Amino acid sequence: MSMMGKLAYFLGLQVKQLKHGTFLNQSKYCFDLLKKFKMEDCKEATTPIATNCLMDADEASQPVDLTKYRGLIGSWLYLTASRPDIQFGVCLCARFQANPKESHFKAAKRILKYLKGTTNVGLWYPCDSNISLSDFSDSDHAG
Amino acid sequence: MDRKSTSGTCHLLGSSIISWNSKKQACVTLSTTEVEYIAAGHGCAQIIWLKHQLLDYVIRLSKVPLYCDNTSAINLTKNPIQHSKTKHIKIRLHFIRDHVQKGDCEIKFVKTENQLADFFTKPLARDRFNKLRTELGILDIKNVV
Repeated sequence: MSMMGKLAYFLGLQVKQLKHGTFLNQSKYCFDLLKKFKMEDCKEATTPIATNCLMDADEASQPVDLTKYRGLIGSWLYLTASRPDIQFGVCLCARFQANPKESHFKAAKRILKYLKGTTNVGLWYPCDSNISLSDFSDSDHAG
Repeated sequence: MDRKSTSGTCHLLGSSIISWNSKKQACVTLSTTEVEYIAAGHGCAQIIWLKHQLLDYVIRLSKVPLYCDNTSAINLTKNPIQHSKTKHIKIRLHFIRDHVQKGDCEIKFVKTENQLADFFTKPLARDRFNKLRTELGILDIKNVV
């Protein structure tokens, strides 16, 4: 038995076990991701998607590097395991993977900027919470 | 734009998020009631799974609350009557009605302000985004340690 003590790292998730709860995040992965896409010095954004962002197929504008765009989406999908906050943005960008354009890439870059400002964000599970399940469902009609 | 809607669900155990989903719906819908109903159906399926998981820890739950912000979608689950406007909703989507009647889950109303699943369906402004993020238990390590 060489690995003794508290769990600190499991399947890419960094685990921090504290007296009053458990914290899960992927800050190292997130930091490496920013470095990989050369965004470690970019400006920070407060939200992953702009509220006035209307995404459509955008046939007229310039296509972007397909491999890079898809690589970006793939890296994010892994990150969503501990980051529900970028889930919506990632899914939105992923819909245009077949034919990504300049405008989609711009939206994608905003998610990176958001990640830059929130590298240390993760999920917090406090000890003292009760066991009760509550669920929410919502939708936006017709895009 | 193909006018398909996005549905989002999230499931909280105590005060922290344990399961979430954001998905573009497979079919075009005619009313907000219908989209909310489909989203609630997705949520219901996940509840059933979570309930089975919790059984392994000898936690038996019944009438799990599922919060929805559309009253007519809620009424649709309670009242097994077909109206002309809801006649076209597929049988598959009446899945939820079945489980409500069996007592597996219970659909409750929640105001849009308190609707946490908003986080997974539309782009939000900064204040609301930060508020929902905190309520879902997604925190910065600085606020925890």
